[in-house]
Amino acid sequence: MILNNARNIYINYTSTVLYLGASSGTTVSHISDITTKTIYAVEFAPRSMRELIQNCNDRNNVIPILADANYPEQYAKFIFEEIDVVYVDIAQPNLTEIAILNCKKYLKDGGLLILAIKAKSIDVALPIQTIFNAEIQKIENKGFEILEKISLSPYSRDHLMIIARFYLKPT
Amino acid sequence: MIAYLLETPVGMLITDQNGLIQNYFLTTALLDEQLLLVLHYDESVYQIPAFVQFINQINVSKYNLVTETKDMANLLESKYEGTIKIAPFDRKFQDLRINLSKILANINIPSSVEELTIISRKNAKLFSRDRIRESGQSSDVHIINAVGVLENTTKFINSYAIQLREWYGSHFPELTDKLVNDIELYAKIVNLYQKRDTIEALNLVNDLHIKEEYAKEIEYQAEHSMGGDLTESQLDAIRIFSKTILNLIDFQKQLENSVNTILQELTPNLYTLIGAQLTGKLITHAGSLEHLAKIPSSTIQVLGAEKALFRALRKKTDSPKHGIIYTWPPIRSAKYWQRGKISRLLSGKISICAKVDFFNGEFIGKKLLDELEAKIKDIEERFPEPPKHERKKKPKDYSSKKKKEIARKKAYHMSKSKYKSGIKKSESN
Ligand SMILES: C[S@@+](CC[C@H](N)C(=O)[O-])C[C@H]1O[C@@H](n2cnc3c(N)ncnc32)[C@H](O)[C@@H]1O
Repeated sequence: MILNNARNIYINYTSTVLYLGASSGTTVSHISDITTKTIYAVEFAPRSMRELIQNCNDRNNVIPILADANYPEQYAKFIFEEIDVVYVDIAQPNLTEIAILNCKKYLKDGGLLILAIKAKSIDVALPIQTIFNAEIQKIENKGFEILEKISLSPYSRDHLMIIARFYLKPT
Repeated sequence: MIAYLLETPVGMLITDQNGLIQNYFLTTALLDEQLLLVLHYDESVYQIPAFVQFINQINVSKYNLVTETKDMANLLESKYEGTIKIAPFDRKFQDLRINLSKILANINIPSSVEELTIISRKNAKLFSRDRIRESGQSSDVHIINAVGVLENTTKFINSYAIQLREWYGSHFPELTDKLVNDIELYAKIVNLYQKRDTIEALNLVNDLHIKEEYAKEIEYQAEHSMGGDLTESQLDAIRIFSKTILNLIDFQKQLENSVNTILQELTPNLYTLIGAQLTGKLITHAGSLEHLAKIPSSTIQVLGAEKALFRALRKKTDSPKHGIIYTWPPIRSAKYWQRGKISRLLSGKISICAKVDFFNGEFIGKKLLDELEAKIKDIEERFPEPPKHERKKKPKDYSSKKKKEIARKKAYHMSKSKYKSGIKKSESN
């Protein structure tokens, strides 16, 4: 519920979204209901992609891409417009780095990063708060402005959703 | 002059710093197969005339090209005569991309956002589906290897089993395959106790979780054994051998699990219809899932019985009714006059499942299995009796009989023993 509300605040009917870690498309489907623009849904597990393609068969604004988000240039050929939101939900230790790379390449100046962090998939040994702080630090160091941190506690203390604004450095 | 090579849903564009198109290679009119070559940066794109023309054009200008992907650079390297720089994070590309509609309008290419969405979506689906298929093919190779190793492992276990029974039999001959049929249990007994007078019912129950009555029977046989005595070091050698067999059995189980897991993912429909073992064997015999999906069901029916099929063709006798699908339990247990019908039904369903699995379709395995079971029941009811006319006698086949004779002699010499316990044969032909 909390997450759904958050999505409704930060993603609206004019948002073009780059979604990393689409899995079989549950969240992508929600977003596809909200926005009238394109959702680029990247997922690298063949099995999940198979389901994603099936689940999004009737959703004409979803573009399902089987690719590794570590290499954002590999899906450049499918993208043809400005990206308003980069949504990252990939349970990987380096998810923040992946998020930053993708923003750097695609996200518009002032665009939003939505980052779903699962502490356990980053490090099982460290205290949860330490992990969250470290990831937040990484984003801030890259000049993102943290807008909101949504914790799911007490339901799931392990998860944190970060919303941040991205600024293109003048070159 | 610096020029950007922009990869887009409609093809490759060469633009200058200001986004003015200099050259382009459109992919919108290509066949799907050709488009896939482009999307995968396959060397064979050089067989597409329009692409060659594009390369020739840019070779005239010899731009200092900037590209986003290493793959693109690699593809051009052999033919392009200008310089190439790879810059995935140059924001220039995104700047160009967000003006794509405008840029394309200059060269009269369909370019509304709606049109681009449709094209990009089609490309992405084509590309992603193909990568799913490729990932399936690499699992093919794994499956084929694993199935091969698994078959050999089973053979090893079976022939080691014979040798272990024979070896340990000199000490405890009453522990026959009638008494302990399961080779794993047999090897465990040998491994745990070695000397037969240390075999006690209570321990057997505790260590091996067998029924008390059964344990007592084994204990009784041990007490009243007529076997000879072995030295410690002889018994120890046998123990090590039994351990080896247990390790092999463990390995066999693990490998089976791994094959199961992969096949559940790779071929959920075949897996549901006929199980992992037969699915693996069929893929192995066909050479790949792709081939299995493409051969007719009549070929699937006799897959693995090629020898018998060719013999039948040569000698003009009946062709075989089934190949490896014979290992499917309902066929094996069917009456001989029903087997041909069931085999034909089954291979039809296998063919459908293989196609759907290969082309990444939906899940229909359960439905087909239910249908199949219903039809088998129907056959059993409609043909309860063997046909009245005599089964055709097979013409005598001296050559194969002779071959068998030779094979039997060979086996005899190799094992140098008449002590054959009732181990099931690993393969039935
Ligand atoms: C937690 S699940 C996402 C669930 C999904 N967002 C939803 O809510 O329906 C994480 C997904 O990220 C995918 N993934 C992990 N690493 C990836 C990578 N480097 N590139 C693309 N996808 C990745 C995994 O295969 C998995 O499907």
